[in-house]
Amino acid sequence: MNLNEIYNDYGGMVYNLCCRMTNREMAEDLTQDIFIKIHESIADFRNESSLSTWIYKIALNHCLNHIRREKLKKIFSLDAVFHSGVEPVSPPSREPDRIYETGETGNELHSAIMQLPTGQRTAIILQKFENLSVKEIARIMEVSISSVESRLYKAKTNLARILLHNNQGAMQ
Amino acid sequence: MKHQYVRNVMIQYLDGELNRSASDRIKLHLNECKQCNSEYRFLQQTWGQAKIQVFTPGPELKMKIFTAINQQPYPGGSSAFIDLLFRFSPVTLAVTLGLITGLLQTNQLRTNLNQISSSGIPVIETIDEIGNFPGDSPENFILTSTGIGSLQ
Repeated sequence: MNLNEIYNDYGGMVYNLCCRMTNREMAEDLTQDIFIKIHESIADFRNESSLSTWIYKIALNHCLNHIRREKLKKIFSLDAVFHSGVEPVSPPSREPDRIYETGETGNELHSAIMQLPTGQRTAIILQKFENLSVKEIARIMEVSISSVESRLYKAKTNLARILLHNNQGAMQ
Repeated sequence: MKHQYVRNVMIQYLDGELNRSASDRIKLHLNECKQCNSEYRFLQQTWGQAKIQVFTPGPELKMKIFTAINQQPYPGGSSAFIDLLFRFSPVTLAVTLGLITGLLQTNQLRTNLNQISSSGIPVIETIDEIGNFPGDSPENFILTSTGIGSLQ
């Protein structure tokens, strides 16, 4: 299978995952980086898992690395602002992940998902949007099935709380 | 049944993940509690968005990706070369390094021979593949740190 065929079959899937893990503005750059990685390491693919699982793993790791980098950037930039004595324009969020919220406006579900811890976020995105089974999610995330089930349960409880809380705020 | 518990498991209820007993109790509570029912409807609508939400990449993205890949000097660049190096077993690496060292030594030998010839010492033209010198047995020569010289 050449890269052109891989892109035709999985390009949309990778782009969608990037949109959901981060935001649409970042998704194109992330998708490009992920396909460069796929191009570089396609020779390593050994059919030990399905091609889609292998691609999901690469895409997910890249997105998670990007999220970690952005968190660090956010922390260091805030640190710089505080040390320079200049008042920040807006108060810092308690959760660095919230930086992504502004990337997607008008989508309360996406905003709520962005507030979840990355483990719960990943599990819920793979299950709800990518329609993957718990077993497949466990393989991609390299954790046990019970761990995925626990993350999914917590993610759904947290999402209900966030969505209802945001809805109450909007109603007032 | 506590309202907070119902709120916490509303999405699991929507996804049909609760056991029958819990599911029946939630159903009963939603029929009786207006507040929870209203919240349930909101979540039902919002959670339903997940199924229809699909992002489509623009056609220019494919072009952008393939242009970026084609601009790479060779797949992977330096990182791929390092990966390739580490993929070799230690034995293969040792043999490769040995060959490289051998080649470098041969070149040094040639340089030394040229230096000897220019200094008036009898010239040795070439060395055959197993290291013998044409027309002479190797015992007649000594190998020094500065090059090869005749014993005579």
